[in-house]
Amino acid sequence: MTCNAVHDLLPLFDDPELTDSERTLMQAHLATCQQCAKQLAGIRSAQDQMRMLRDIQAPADGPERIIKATHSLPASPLRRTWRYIMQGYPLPAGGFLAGAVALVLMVILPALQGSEPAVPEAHPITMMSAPSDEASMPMLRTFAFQAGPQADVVFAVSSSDPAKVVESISLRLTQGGQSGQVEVAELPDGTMEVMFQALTPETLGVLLESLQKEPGVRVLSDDDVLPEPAETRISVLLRVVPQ
Amino acid sequence: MTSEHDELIEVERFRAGDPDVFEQVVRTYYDRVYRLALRMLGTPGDAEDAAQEVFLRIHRRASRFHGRSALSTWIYRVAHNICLDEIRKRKRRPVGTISHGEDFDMAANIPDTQSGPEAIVTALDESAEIRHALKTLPQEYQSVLILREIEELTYDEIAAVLGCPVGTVRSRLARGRRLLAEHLERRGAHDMQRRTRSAATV
Repeated sequence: MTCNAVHDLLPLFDDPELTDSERTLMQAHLATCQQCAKQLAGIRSAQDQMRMLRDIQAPADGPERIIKATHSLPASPLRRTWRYIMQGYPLPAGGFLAGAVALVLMVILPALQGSEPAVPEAHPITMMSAPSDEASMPMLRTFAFQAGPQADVVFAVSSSDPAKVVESISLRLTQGGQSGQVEVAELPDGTMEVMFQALTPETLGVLLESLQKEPGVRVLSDDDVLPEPAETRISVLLRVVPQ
Repeated sequence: MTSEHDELIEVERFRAGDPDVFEQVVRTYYDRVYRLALRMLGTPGDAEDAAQEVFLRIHRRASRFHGRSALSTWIYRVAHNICLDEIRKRKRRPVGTISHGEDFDMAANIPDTQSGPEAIVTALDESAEIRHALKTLPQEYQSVLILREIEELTYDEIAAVLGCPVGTVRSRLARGRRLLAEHLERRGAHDMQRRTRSAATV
């Protein structure tokens, strides 16, 4: 084994995540290469110094001050949602744009306005879960797209025009030939959330950039929901705050 | 009753905004969040502010935690994002902003108060040196090194916190460690050269 072959693995030598075969190969190389052995010693020394930074004294009253500060705050409201899935919605290669526009016009915009969605006859909506009292529940409708690669990203945006954000997302999704679902939920506090799933990270980057260019749209954060490494899907949450 | 079952109940109570569970979460994770913030932001005052923001955000968004990943991972993720936001804000601030509290931070880095004065001075020197070396690295390398060497997270946990593939964590960790070691080596060689020169002058 050459020095080049162990170059990328050498700094990981002491990590338990390294496979046995990788470690065995490196051990064999290190036994005969003083240069790499010296590099490993330097890396270990740097790691030892980094570990010194573990010892800190956090303010003892920090937790109490935070707990006190939260006493006057309302608890996080549970999101009440209901959803529909439109299965097998056809989006042929040449018709993504038209399909998206039709989707927005027929389903998402009416949903935002509070009326029942227009249901294409050939592609029936399947109800996944329903509220016991529909009138009191927020709206959440889900639209399925084509299946696609996995990734895990979540972020939030605020916008002065929720409908425009939904429209923009739908267009980008379909233009990119991406899979997933778009959900729209109205929260008890009057804000609105849009969630969609199953994008590639590349498409998500393009989508984020384009959203940030929309007038009145601001990307807030991406930590609202954890990525779920065990699941083969992206989960993207857009929090749309009407202004 | 299994501990797994207990955990599920705790997660449900946390999501529902149970103040007792939230208080327990703050007490359990405060030190870790503060430490992460201190290492990312550099000063105790900023770390304290960031830690407070982290837990207030967690309080507001508890209902969005579904318990499919570890609570600690979610908290680290929120903390890391808040610190990154702060770092980005700093970059936009006018040049000339003075960072306070570094001396206090250095004092907090003395791990063993039983040591003699020389040992304490050496520990402070090394602590300052490694912190300086860390700050010279690109942010993505700093993050993985802090989460791994200081917070002792696994590759999988770091990937979940940063929202990137495990392979990316692995390559950033390897590159970051190598860069850090090279920086320290250059610094050591430079110091040695300087000491030799001043000895020659004397």
